[in-house]
Amino acid sequence: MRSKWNLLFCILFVTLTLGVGLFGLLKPKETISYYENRNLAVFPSFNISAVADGSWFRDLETYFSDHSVGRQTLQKLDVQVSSALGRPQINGIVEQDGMLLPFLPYNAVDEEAIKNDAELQTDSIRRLCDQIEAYGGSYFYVALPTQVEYNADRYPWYLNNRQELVACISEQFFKNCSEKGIPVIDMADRFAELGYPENLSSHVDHHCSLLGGYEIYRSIVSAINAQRETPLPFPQGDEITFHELPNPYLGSRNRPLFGYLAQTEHLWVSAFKTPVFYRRFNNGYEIGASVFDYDPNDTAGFISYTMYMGGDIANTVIDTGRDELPSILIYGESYTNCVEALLYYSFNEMHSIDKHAYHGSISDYIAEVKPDYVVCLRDYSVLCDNEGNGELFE
Amino acid sequence: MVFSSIAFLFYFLPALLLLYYLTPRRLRSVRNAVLLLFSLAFYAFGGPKALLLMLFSITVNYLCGIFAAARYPRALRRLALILSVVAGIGLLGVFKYLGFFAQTLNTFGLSLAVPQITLPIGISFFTFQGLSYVIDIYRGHAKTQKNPFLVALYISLFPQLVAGPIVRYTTVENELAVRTESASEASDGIVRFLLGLGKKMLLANAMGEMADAIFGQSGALSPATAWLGALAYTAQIYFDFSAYSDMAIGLGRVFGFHFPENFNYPYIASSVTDFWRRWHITLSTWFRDYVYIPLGGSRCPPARHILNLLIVWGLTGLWHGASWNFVLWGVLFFIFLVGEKYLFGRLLQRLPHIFGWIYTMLVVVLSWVLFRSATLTDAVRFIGYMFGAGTGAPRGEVVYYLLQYWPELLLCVIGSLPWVPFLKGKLESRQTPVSRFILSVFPKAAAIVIFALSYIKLSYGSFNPFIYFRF
Repeated sequence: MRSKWNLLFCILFVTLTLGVGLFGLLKPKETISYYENRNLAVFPSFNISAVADGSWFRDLETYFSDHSVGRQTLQKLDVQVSSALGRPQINGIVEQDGMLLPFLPYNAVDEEAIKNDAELQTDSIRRLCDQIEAYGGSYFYVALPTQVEYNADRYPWYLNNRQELVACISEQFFKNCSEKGIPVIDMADRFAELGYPENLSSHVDHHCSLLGGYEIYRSIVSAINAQRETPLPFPQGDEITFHELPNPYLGSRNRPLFGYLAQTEHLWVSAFKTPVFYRRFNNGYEIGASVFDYDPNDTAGFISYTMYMGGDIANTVIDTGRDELPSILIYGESYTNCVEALLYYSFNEMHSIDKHAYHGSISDYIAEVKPDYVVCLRDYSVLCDNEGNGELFE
Repeated sequence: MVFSSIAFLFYFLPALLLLYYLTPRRLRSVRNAVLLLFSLAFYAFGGPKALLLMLFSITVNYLCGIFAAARYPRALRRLALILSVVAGIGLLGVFKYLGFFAQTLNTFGLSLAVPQITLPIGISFFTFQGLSYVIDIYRGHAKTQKNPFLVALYISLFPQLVAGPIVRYTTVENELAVRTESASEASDGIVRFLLGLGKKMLLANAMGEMADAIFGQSGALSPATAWLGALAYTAQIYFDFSAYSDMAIGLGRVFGFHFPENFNYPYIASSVTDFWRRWHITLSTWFRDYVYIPLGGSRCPPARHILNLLIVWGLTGLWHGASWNFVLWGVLFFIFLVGEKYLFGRLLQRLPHIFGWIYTMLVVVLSWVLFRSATLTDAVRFIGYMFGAGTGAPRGEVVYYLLQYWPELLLCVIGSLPWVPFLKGKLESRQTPVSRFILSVFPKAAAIVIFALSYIKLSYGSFNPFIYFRF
């Protein structure tokens, strides 16, 4: 009896390993991992040097892992098991009362490094201000509290909510800006004034909602209008309508959880009562005039923040052909996207740059285009960051 | 290649099992050839350059083994032995210690170029196996193996090739040529292998995540966090290394080999001496038989005995890595072993077991901090944090780690205790149909569940080699 069990077990093991291996080899291969938002590994190309140094074999293992049988289903199961076990974070995400927040490591705040970075960054911004003011333009820096700052008090007491870090960054940055005469719009003030409404932030993504973008847009226009005799047109009341798309929202926070809570929040789109006609150029090439990139016929498929402006484009220009209005350049990380989808309403030309994709210098672009207004929009955590959109002259 | 990889579990292993077991048992040499080829391929998977090194080691040991036999003149035998030792230690010296020696000499004012040599995986293990082969022949404990393929198979046998247990030639001498594979042995081997896989994938890796997060944290740590980090690493290194040994022993049984046990619940030890009888047993016994006893062992005056212990533990530390941290780690154990032998060993025996256990775990946990830290300064700083030298205020992170890893922590505590042999013994003594059924079916069912859970972790695809690969 016992030997029968043993033999059966051996046969089961070999069949299982062989079956999974063969099925993994033969099954049709996907090229992207939708939830992880990345390309899956391709079969490594064979070359002698890669074989000799062992890298070919490591790449092969990555390929096998990426295409392992039932990978996504099992990982979803793993998320559910981790959730049932009550782990505070799953795949780097913390869930608190239906809000998905990032897990933040417990690193010490290096005040000295932040102080140095703030000094460098504000020196650089001041230089850019001087360049803009020299031709009669104006510069504004918009500091945006992100989803983490917006919901910092939702973190359980034992988790890091980076309040200490952000307080140090913002204190140094704002102090330097004040000393160097850099105009700053702190969106924390505006959000506090509004009482931090839930719908300005997102539950499943680190970006703000279109309604949050609208408040940022309002703050920018208010700051500019304070300098102007003729106020810029700004849509309010029944001049603008917002409505939610029915599609589930796949954000940066619920991607690692395989779309968890995707149905609880929806992306907004807007329409102006008086439409503004425009031509749009991406990286110098004219494309269709649209700022919301979605398929109205697909009401069930996942939709993500890249719906706004079509994601992170190196350089976008929207030309509304209204020469009586000024021009604007907005630069910053992807937080600008939902603002850009509205901002063009008030300007003749709206330019946008994201240095993570744009290879030229922001200063050179400004020198060439000479926009009347230049706005930088960056989130609290990177105010002192001298790289990416903090790198202004290279 | 790593056991805990898709390539191994779902391609290499089933292919080998099929080819091996489809070859008729009477064609032993063909089965051995299959095993040898797969073993060489297994090693080549980590980078074929290192394979040449291993083949060189095999060739030298094979030739030296021939001339170390009793039928040759004593001078020739000694020469063969010396050549084997010089070649083995020379390989280790060049590939493992050259950079370390250069760096050390540079601290005395020299300006030697520090070579950047990639450490071939498992070099310390296969070198020690090769040496034991020639030394055992020289001593007359083993017969010369005339078949070079069997010497190659002994040294390169993939289950224990890269991270032990260190298998002596005398242990597998007979099994290389004549062994009996059976469904019972293979089934037990598969269960042992899968339990090892689970220890690695489900426990050691989770403890490693926690240890890495705490050891890698910038800034000062609170004592509670530092202790938790040290304990996490203590669990990681045991479940990682013993997992590899379980997998190696299990795979050995699948192919009819019986490798020695390498661990015997070391974290229940009640003294440091007891700990080293339970931890990495094959390394301790290797040093005992090939270094300590030839030096005179304990049958000599105390001063000489202490010197012998110092040499053995200095070498044990150095074997683990080319760094002063490892040497000091070895010396730390030397101090406590000498202390137990000559100062407080008897007192320890008279005290309740719990005191001995606390003392032992304190020494072991602190030693692992030394082992884990990149530099001595890091180790001293971390130990300082453990005893309150840090300014780090408690930030709730201990609560986070406990909530995040509570299932693994619980299983680590359970897995460190010998409840499996206890329960097994109880069931075996009952001899009822139910106990026999449980003994037969439960381990297999548990192994399959563990396999499934490990596969989920594997599908995340994070390459996570065993800690002892770097030795």
